[in-house]
Amino acid sequence: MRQAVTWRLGLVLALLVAVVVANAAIGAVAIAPGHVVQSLLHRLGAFDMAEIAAGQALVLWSIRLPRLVVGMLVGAGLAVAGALMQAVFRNPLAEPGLTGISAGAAVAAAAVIVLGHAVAGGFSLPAVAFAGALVAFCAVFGIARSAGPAQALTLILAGVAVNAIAWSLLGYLTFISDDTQLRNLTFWTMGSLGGATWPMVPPLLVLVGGGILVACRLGGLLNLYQLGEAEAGHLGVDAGRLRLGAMALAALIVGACIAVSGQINFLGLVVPHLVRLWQGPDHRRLLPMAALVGALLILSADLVARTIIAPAELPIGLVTAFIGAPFFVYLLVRQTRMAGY
Amino acid sequence: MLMLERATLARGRRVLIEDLSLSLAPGEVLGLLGPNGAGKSTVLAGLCGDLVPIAGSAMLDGRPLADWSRGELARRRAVLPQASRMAFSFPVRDIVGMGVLPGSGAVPATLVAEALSRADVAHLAGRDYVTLSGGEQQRVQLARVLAQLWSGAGPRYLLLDEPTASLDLAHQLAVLELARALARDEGFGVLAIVHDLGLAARAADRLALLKDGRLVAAGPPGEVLDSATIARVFGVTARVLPHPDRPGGILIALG
Repeated sequence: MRQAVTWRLGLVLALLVAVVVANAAIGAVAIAPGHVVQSLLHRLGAFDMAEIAAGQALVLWSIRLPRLVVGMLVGAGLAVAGALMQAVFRNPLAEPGLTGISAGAAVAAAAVIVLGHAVAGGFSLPAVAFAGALVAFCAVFGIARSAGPAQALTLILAGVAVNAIAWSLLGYLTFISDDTQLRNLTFWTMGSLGGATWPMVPPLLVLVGGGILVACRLGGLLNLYQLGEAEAGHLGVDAGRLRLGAMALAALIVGACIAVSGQINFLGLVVPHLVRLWQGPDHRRLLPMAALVGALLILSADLVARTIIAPAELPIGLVTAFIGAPFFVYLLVRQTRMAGY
Repeated sequence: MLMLERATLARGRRVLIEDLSLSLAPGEVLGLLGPNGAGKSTVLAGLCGDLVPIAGSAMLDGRPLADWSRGELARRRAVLPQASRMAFSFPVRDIVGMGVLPGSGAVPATLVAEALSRADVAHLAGRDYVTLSGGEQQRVQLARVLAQLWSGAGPRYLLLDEPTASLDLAHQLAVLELARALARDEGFGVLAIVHDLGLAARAADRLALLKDGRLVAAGPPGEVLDSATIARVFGVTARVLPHPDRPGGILIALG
């Protein structure tokens, strides 16, 4: 058992290192993988290495590396948030978008882009998108609550309603936008890691990195929650608080991710499934592994997005949706068959 | 002693149980009977603390249930639900392991193995819970609540909501025999909601008959189960015939 955990971890970490180096090396300015490692070691001061050519170093350190770090955090965050949502709804088809978080962030960002920065009141675009995500989440949870004890079904229906409102607002903002604004809007609806900068990293580390660490500590309780809300309660778990806590955590993580990358579909849905197929449903191991696999997959998708139509760049959300949607259909069919409907 | 005292229980605005007193003592098996919709599950919800009485009280060992923390309660009482679906493919062994309470000092693996074998599901230990039949799932859940009680402490209570519902005849008898053994050997107070009057009469020390949210009769099976009471509670004509081995006789439903 322990051995299996070790080799899985080793495999994912090795793949992650490989895709990190590939991402750092490949692009309009090619940098030899050896030079990537050399430059990293030089800056870290661990070895007596010479710095690489100035132009390459600039591309590496101010464009590719922030994008890599932000990408890993976003991928890990979306995957963990997806796993949290699926655990809380006790449904493998749940995903962060259900709670209106993504749509809320998109509307807030679009409002700033189309109506002008005065709307933002001095806050940056990511900060506004983050606020939008949380407002949408609170609306969904508030609606579900006012209808009675917040059950999974009322939460989902409230999510559908808030999503519909958000998308109609987004549609209106798209309708009245000019050409430049429209291009900026697609960033939010289709996702991109292209806007990543170093200043984004500290807040992401706190919200997403910290959120993932907290989530990983909930693994044991989320396992008990799978028995059912009442059953978990009989085992001493405060199920209501656990559900609210896990959902708020997911909202915080996804809000922060979307704020820097726009909407990246299907990662949150697919990654927990892959990990479950691979190592079983135990949340104590699922959550940390989902974080690693999420980081791995988003960097792979970003590599495709950056290179497939070079010198132009494809929105990463298109890549993840193109691969994720067929997989979603496969899961749906499989689950329905297994349930024997 | 786990008890409801003149308790009124409601879900939302609907009052389902009115002014009902019922107690479960350590070491006894209490059978809870009644037609569908009589309020049996509601009584169980009141006894386990899920539903707080709007009048009267629910007490565990002299203290209102609401004053116990969730963790304390988990060490003292376990609840077997009617049916439990899982969304994800946990192995049976892991599900039973979820019953083992943290900080109990027990060795989880030993406890799980013992619980699996007592519920006659040891052969399913490695199987995926989702793929089991309803009856098998029910027995796995039984193993889980056993693991929970064994990792608890003090006088303990086991509340079973239709533990025999999806079981074959042999397992119905085995589960009720297990309930008897737990009461006799470990001093657990066991309450079981059972539909089969014959099975209930055989397994229980006392029966409580419920109709329309009220307690109609309570006492030893031989005293409670007569044709008049059965007609009143279930609307069924039945005869109790003498039997050489069974003090209470045997019951035959005539229609």
